[in-house]
Amino acid sequence: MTAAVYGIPPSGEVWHGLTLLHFFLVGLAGGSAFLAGLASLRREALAPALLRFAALFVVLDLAVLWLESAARFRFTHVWLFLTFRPASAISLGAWGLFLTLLLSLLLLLRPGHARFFAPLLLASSLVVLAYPGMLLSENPGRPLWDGFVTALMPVTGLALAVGFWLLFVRGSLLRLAPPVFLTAALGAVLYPWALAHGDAGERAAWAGLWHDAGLFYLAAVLLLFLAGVLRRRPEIAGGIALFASAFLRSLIVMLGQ
Amino acid sequence: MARYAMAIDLEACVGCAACAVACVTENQVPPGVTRLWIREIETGRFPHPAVEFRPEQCYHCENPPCVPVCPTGATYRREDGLVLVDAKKCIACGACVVACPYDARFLHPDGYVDKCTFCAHRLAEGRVPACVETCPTGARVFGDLEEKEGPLQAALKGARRVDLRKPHLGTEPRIFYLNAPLATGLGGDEA
Repeated sequence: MTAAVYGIPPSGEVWHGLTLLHFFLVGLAGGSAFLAGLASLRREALAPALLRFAALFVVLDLAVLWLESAARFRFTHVWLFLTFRPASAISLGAWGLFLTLLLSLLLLLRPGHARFFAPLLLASSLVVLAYPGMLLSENPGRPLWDGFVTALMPVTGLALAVGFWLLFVRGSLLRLAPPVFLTAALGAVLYPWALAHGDAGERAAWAGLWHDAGLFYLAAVLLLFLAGVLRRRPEIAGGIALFASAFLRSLIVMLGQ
Repeated sequence: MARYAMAIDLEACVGCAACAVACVTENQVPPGVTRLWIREIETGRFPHPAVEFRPEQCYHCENPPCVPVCPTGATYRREDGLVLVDAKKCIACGACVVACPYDARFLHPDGYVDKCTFCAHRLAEGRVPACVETCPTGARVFGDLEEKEGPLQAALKGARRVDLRKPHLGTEPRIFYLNAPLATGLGGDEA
């Protein structure tokens, strides 16, 4: 049974390279803001740097989103902040990014109010970490993006941020990094398991992923496990986790379309 | 309130693509994209070859997955069942393009998402969509589902069988395929 087409079915890949950069930056922004929230609550010396970079990553991410949009010179993005649609992951993400930026700046300006602002920053950063997974999983016609990505995306986003910061600083991150990396690795193992136990579409999607990039997927999972156990060389573990998390996220986004 | 829908008789469709051309002309669809296309599926084997010509477009679903994912409300569903895009509010994020399980949406070169509108501008004038008017074999029937004695209901009642695309998704498309050549329904592995 073969199929040919008269005319061009309109959609194909909608999200390209800049979108992958967004998925990278949003993980970095959300994860850094989450770490900044924790550091602010504990009044750690690292908190101001984390807050500054969380704000910077949010700004960079918003700039990438604007740059990749075909509507960038129509300035219709203003509608994102004139409406709030909780059923839309992008609407949640836009407001989450805005609030994360605002709260990071407020904590930088008023570090004495950490008990009030830091929990709010933790909450908004969780929205930023969670929204990419929600965005992917709300598409019924894309079986690779099953419900499990709502868990995998936040975990890999946090691993990405922890990996990035481990390249430069230590402190409490040393204790946090192994469980985060190992959780991300476990999530990456459970994801294909969930697909393999899903409906026919999900099983076919996993078979497709395995066929197209199975060895790369396996390598990324092993690298995350390696980062989780490589405690004597934290900067190397951080680099490995940063790379493996970014790669896994990109793979899932691109192949799922 | 009307509930607009369409029926396409696959026994009558000859795959001439006149509907696709009419759509491009009526809606000034730019080159490289299309709101409507025809899928050709071989459903038989020698010595009994058969082919299904299946016109595809936006199905104006009863439960459209593209509507809730829109962050600005640019994609909306009217009371008469038409799923439309307000280009002034669209940020071209692509969420609805990805959400559509039928791949019926595309990014217009002018920076917004576009798709079939059931020729809403013609409906407002009391005319049928351009694809329906053009079809040389009368394979397309457009009408109001609420009109019990209307042409759409008559076509649905008179059909040997009625199929929807991807019914397991629960989107309830409002384009009904009539008389699919295969006894088991629509051809293709993703119908």
